[in-house]
Amino acid sequence: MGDYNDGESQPEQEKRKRMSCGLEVECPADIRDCLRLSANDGFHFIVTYPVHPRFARDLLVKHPPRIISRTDRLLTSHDWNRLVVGRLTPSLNVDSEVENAARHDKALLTQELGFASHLSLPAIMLKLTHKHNMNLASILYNKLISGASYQVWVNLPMVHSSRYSPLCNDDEREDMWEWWNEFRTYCHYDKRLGLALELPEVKHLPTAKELERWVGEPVKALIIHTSLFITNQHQSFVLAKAHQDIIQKFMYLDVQYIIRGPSQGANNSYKCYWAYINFLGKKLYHVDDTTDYMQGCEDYLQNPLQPLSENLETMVYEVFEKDQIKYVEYQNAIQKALEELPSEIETPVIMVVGAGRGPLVQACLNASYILQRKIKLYAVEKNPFAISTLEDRVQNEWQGQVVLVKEDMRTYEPPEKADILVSELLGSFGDNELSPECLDGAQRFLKKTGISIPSSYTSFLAPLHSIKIYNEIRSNRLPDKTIESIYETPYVVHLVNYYQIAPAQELHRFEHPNWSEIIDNDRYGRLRFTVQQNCVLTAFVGYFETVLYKNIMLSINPKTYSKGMVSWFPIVFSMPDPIHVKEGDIIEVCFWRMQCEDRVWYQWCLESPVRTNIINPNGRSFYIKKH
Amino acid sequence: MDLPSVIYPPNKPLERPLALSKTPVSYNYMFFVDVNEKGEFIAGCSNINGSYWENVLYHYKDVTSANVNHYSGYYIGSSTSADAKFIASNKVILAEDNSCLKLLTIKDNGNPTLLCEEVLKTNDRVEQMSVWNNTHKVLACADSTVLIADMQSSSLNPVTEFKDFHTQFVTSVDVNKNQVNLFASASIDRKACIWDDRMSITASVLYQNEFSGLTSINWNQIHPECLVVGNESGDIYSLDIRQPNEVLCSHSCFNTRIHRSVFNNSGYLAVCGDTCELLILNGNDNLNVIYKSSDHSGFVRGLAWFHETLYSCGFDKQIIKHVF
Repeated sequence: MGDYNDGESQPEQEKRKRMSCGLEVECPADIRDCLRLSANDGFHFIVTYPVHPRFARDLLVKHPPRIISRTDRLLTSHDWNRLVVGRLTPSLNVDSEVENAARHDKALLTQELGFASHLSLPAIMLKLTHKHNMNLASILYNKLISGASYQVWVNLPMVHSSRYSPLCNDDEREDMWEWWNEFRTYCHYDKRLGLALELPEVKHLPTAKELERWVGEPVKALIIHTSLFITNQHQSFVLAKAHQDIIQKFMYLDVQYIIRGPSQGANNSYKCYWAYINFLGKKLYHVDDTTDYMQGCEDYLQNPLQPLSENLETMVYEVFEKDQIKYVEYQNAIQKALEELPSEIETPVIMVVGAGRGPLVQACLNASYILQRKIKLYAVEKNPFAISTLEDRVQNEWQGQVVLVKEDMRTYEPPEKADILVSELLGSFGDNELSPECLDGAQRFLKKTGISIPSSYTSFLAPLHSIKIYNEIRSNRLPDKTIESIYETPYVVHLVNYYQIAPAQELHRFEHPNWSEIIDNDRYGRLRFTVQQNCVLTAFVGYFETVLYKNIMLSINPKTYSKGMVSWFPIVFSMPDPIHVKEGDIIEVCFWRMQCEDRVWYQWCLESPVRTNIINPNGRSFYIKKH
Repeated sequence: MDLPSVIYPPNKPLERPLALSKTPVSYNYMFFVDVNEKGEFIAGCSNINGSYWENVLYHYKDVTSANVNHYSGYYIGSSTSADAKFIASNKVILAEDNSCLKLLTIKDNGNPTLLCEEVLKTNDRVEQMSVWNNTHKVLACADSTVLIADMQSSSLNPVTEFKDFHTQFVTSVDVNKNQVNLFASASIDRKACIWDDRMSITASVLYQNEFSGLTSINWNQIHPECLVVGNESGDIYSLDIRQPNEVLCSHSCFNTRIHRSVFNNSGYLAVCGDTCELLILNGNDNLNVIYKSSDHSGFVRGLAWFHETLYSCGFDKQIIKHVF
């Protein structure tokens, strides 16, 4: 991608991020004309004051002014509802320590909120001007729970100016995130409450970890002041690399962009700013093979699969089969294992257990062909519909080289023992689709010297800050589920709007084959994480790493991630309520994998910084069926 | 009684033409008044709750004309406005709410009018301005920034911004008229600052209120060591730059926030707030009240002295003369 040139067309790229842009026009003379001009410049909405910010008035008198602002008839309700975000008068301070001022401003705020409702504005934007805003939160939360239709965008700088102002002492330095956190906590993390963050000047950027924490918040908009734009060699307005980097981090949250400040463009037009933001939608949006797969899944809750009790559908098989990385690594592992089998074994026996529609069978055949080593191949599958597909492949693609077995691997009695047992039974947490139980059953037809692919898998856990996921769980509750049960249920999620509080740590591991006399697949782990900055613990996120064979592995743990692999999203184990944690705090979690006759479940509790009850005891809200 | 024309059908959508007024309209909401050394007035009003948000700045040759709105010139701007000041006998600087500072010249060739000669953009909407004697420099505040704009500079950057100092909205600024490097600011961050743009750290905190944001500041030009600040509680505090953080005396003016205060050349201080009343305090002596007026029927917004006479305007379309 070349330098931005406002005057020249850019080479078309196939994929781009749609950049929704708004223009802030504080006090337009003619709101209709303002909408027309901003639309002509490419903007999708405007941000403006519905009530003039200099309209000082006292509503606590007998005859307050009857006119509040421009007549609502200037725009259609459709336009008010679609195109106008309303800024509240910034001087209102309902938390003033001056009682009269607070009372006076409360009346004004109530009127402005009422007017915003009357106009059906999609969102209102307000600025927090001090740390403690409990009265403001109280008024707004009342409105939100009593059915206000608008979203509330809290406008904040990413870094409070007290951090660099020479007028402020060390004890006056403020952390903007703390203001926000306190405010939204009063409002019980309401999902209609979001952030409109101001892009800082280059010299006042937040630290990397502060930025990561902002990315974990429900940011609805990034506000970009026109003074932040610089001119490039083509005399076009562009943003510094540091600003582009920030925008790129927020791009995947689907934020909107608001241009604020006077235009320095020709004829006072704002088109140049819109055009540049639009350009960033191409330049900064990285598209790879995984994009199509991931798109639409962002922060979407999925229930973990129950492949033992439910047959997978063709769509699920098809999605899995698209993951080239996974199957290439499997083939490499099979090939390496086959290569290392003693040459005395004339025709090695390979069994693919849980063959699905056959990708691993194909991998085995490929390895055999590449090594020019003859094998005897069994494909064991219990899903009758997948068997149908496999049968077709045996007849038409594999020239009858594969012995197809329609059996459950835990009960199948094979005519001979295998040298290599290949399976793909792993879930997002490794063992959560009962790979241990299945392979423990299946290993009886593995020779004592045989190899299991995978040979081990390890579950990892990390503390998570994601109000978005917390709210998704709450808002997706089905009528037959209790609040308790939805927070005791794990979800598989492609996490986007989150902040991982600390690096993931190893929780437990399974190895195969397991020739112990008594196999115990229960696990208990206790992990301690150090909090790096103040944040909110809402859940734990689970990952896994697996060693397929020797040095060939697959991982969804961010630290060792198998690049380009899309088969697994992380799994989230939620906390029933968000817990505020401070820098230096120790988060200590106890985690169990437990089972009984017919099911396996996870349960967990927090030991520090506060002790909680055990969540999901006895698998009361979620378990994995063995049969 | 003139009946309005028929609109048919009666449920017809609004088709009100919206455009800049061709002739000046006297809107209820007068925000500022200023007087030059010749006794000429400017006053400005804005349409802040009608369909088209514009401002009208009037020029009056004298107080009599001002009292009856017999203007000698006008300027109509396509934005509301917060403040305007004479910077020479025939030049006015106008702060509009579209982040523009406009330099207007009063042309008097039989049919006096105000022409816009220069426009400077600021990064935010200007709240208040103050000017030094005999310069084209204007001190202003906008959002959390204090800025100095040189309206006749040939520089590419005629606006000098001081934006990393106050942490909240700056509500008020004032200059030391006899020292072109000295000025003062007050902010919702509860701090009042003294500025000297020759210093490496240009601002220092003169006063910090414990409970409320500051909403006005004025430099006593005959006692340049003295300033006053007003706050959200309606109080005025007298301060001395030689004794930072010490309040010399105070006066509780209103039970609403102070909006503006202005010294005259005798040390009298006129004060208005979010109320229809205004006060004149003796700034030389313990801030005792020497005049009180309730003549306005709307909030008082603008104050200007001409010698010993105070003129005020507000949200009632009036310019009122106060003699005490």
